[in-house]
Amino acid sequence: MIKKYLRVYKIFWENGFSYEAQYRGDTWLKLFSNLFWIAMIFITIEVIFSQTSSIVGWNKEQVYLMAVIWIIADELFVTLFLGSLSNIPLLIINGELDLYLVKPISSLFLVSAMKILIRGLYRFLTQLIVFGWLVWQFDFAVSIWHILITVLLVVVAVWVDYSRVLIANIFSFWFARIDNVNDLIGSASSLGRYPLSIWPKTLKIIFLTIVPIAFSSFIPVATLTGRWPWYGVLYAFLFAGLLFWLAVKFWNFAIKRYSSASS
Amino acid sequence: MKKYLTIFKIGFQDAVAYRGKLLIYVLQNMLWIVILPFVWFAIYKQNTTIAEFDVKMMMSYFYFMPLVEIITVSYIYDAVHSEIKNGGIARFLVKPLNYVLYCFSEECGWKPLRGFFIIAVMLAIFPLVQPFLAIPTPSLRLLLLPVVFILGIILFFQIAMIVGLVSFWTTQGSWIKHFWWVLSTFTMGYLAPITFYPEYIQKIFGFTPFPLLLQTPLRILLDTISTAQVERELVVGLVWFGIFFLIIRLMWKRGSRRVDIVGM
Repeated sequence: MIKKYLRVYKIFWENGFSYEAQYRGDTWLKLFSNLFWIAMIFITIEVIFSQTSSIVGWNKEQVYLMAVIWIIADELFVTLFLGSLSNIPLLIINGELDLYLVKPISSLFLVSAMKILIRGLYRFLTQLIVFGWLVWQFDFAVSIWHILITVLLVVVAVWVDYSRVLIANIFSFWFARIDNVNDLIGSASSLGRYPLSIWPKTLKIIFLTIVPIAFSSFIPVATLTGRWPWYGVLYAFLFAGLLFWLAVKFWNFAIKRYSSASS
Repeated sequence: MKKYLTIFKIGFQDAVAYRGKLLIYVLQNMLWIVILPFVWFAIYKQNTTIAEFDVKMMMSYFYFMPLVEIITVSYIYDAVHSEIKNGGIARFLVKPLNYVLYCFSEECGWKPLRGFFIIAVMLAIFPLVQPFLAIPTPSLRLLLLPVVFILGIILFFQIAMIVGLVSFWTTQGSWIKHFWWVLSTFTMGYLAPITFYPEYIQKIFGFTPFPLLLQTPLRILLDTISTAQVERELVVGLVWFGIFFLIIRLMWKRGSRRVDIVGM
């Protein structure tokens, strides 16, 4: 069983690489566009810190670190899931989901992992270099234990991202043309680059529960810099598991009520 | 003219029919006023005034932003991109319709309903946020607002159209959409007024159409811009209107020749 899934997943990766190799022009343009985006994020931080020395106790270096961790988690998510998940509304509108449902493999696995975006991987690697430079430049004093937990929390961030984007796209079973939901998620996610302490209590709760954007950067960096308690780390793992469980349940619920749009 | 009015009506009916999509657009427009003021509140704890903006002025800037944005913003690149990629563009090669005007009319059809929802939300939260806002006394400069809005709507649409038409030459249009999203976030003043940027960046922006799309109407509403500067930006905007007009014409002419449709 697992072997079958691994074999299929390997084919998805190979397809991802052949796609990038086939459309090299697009790949380079996307890479350029992304580098421009990263530059804009850093310029924004510079603009903010040209007016202040810290934001609610977070200095420039720590905010840079938040931005880099956020980009790393985001690129991992983009590489592994975004291409597939953002396609769900179109699959439903065009009636192509039928093809996924009749295959002898989990339909959720197919709609989640079919399209691997290799370009996200290039950007992920670029960010690892930036991360290394940042650590070297600003001399963060952190223990190996903190680094290990932070790496795990980045995985949790990707897991949470996957679940919430899946849940949002499942709504297209009921509201046909909501393909723009992924743009909204993208805009909302970008707010995860700011320290949680900025927001009032209500928004803090929302960002840790209903709209979980605090997971993508704040929790990993707050843990790395010793600002996030151990029970907060535990909460992150439990929440990721719970949200994933909810997403799977919601998918199964939606599939049962799906009526094909194809002829 | 009558046929474009009909397309406008169809766009409006589309907005009514696809309420889910409309709601997401509204949420996206409202996101900034709900979130970004808190970032700036945190920064203003260490400052009283930044680049002539005090905290109340800053909150007003974000409060009025969705209103201005809903008037000028254009998302037409999504529709243009999918029509080119799905071959739907072929319909317009044989119909007695100007494709650009068709898109403009359809896009404008979405605006009234989106605007209605945003104004409703703004009015609903007004009593809550009023103590944090600085509402300036109306000045004569407000008379310039309709002109600025008209030029802003057209320029925003032209840029979105160019972004969409790039799909004639690329396999995927997501990179150019992403590029425009990044550029607009930074250049239009979504994160902070442009006056917060270093002076050389402001000077560069002064030669671009970007301030007219969001920043200038907002600053007219807040009365933080001189009439001379508005006039200067209008002149720059008109020049860009001409440039974009030629670019779109050229792109459409060259792009439509590349269309290769396989179908029934």
